[in-house]
Amino acid sequence: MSELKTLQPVVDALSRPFWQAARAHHLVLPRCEGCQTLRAHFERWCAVCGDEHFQWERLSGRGKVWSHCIFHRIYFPSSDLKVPYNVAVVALEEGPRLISNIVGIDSQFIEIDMPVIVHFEDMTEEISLVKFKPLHFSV
Amino acid sequence: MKNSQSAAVIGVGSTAFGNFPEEDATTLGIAALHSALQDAGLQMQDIDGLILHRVADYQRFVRTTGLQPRFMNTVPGQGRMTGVAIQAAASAILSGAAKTIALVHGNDGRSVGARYGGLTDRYGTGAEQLWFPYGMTSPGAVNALQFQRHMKKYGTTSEQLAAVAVAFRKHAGLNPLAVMQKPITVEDHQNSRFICEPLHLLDYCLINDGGVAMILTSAERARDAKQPAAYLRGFAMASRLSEGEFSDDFGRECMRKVADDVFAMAGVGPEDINALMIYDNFSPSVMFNLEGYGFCPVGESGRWIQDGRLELTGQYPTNTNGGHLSESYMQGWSLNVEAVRQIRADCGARQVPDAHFVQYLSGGPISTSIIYGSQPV
Ligand SMILES: [Zn+2]
Repeated sequence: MSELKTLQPVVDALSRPFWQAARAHHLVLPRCEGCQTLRAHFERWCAVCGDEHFQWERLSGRGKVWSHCIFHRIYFPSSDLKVPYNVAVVALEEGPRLISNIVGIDSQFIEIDMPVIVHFEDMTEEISLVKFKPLHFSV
Repeated sequence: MKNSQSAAVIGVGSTAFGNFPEEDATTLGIAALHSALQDAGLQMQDIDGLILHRVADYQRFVRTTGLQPRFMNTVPGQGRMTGVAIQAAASAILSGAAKTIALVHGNDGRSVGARYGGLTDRYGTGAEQLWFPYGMTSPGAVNALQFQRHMKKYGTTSEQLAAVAVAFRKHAGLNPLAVMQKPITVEDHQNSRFICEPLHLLDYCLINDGGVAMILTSAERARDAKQPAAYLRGFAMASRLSEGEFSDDFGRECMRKVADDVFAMAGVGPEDINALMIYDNFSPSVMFNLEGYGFCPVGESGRWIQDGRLELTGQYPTNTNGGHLSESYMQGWSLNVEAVRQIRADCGARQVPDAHFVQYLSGGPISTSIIYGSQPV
């Protein structure tokens, strides 16, 4: 398996609905039925109340840049990622945070608290990555 | 607290630090243990407890040393576990589970090409799905993201941050074991290449091979020891792992809990501390620790660390061995050893005068702190 391939998300039973929704350009996350906490990772149990039941909830796709950085070192040598590239933590309007890339803007101009909206990037037949673009600029 | 109820370090040892492809983590750990035993004037059979950190093969370790531990543990090889391991040893001694415990760290990170970041690094919640596809990886990037927020929120600058690397390099110049000894300036820091912007190369620790060992026993037994003992006057831990990697408050609330506990146990406050050993995997963590443990006002660490405050002649000499940034990344272990050496007044040119209390601070998702004192309670 090439490294490029392994950089694609490793989809498993718990995360499949997330990636299926992403391919349809919908952003969804699991919301706990027990305590209504929305979470941004794919585990069986709610870390707040321990409940195993949850519903996939479609989100607005809006958020703000919580923080950002620019990678200059190559950590994935055989992938097609070219340095420098930005990585951002996006705080979704609904609360949870996602790691992502901000597209449609020069990395130097990304700012904390910048409003962003989800932008799906189709990678393969199965995978669209969940990226974000500035709300007030067009890609 | 009575004398008999505290633990003390009676021996420390380390190997050289560098690139030793003929060694591995186990042999480096064993060499460090021999060095610590010699320092303590003890034999292998005097050890009845063993905690290993990053030593891959405990079976070979025990077979090669002939140890017969009645208390034994291995902890995961992350540096955040170092304070946890030392506290476990102290607790085992206080409970009577063991009399004399060896703590051993063996690290072959350089010669095996350990990379913090990349596909083999599972650091990060759900990294394979949520981090790697976006190129996100490495604890350095987590620090970079946190530092970016500190800059935005408090107006901290990268030039201010440089004071950390500059001070520790100065100290390293007085430490024959340090891997990097050539003095650096703020300009050198600014001109060093970006690794994960806003962090530069000189904000990153030095990955090397080496071994470090410590020997703990009770304060009572420490009275007869060959070396002056360094007493564990306080130790405490708290965790924010359940929050994930990104803390809104730079980990301050978690560190605050540890600070309250460790100062209460030691019966001292920040004003009594003569030197600090701060877990510096990346230079911003030094600033976050200073704020989190209450040494400087929240948000002001950028200004506070200027004018040599962390240097030998400053208010809080910090990482007097050069720390992870300039001595070597021994994942907190050589910082604890340096604390002991300062307490013993064994540090030569880098000795802090009257070092009666030296505090180890680690402020990550597991925050730990240890206050070493020159006197038992
Ligand atoms: Zn719940």
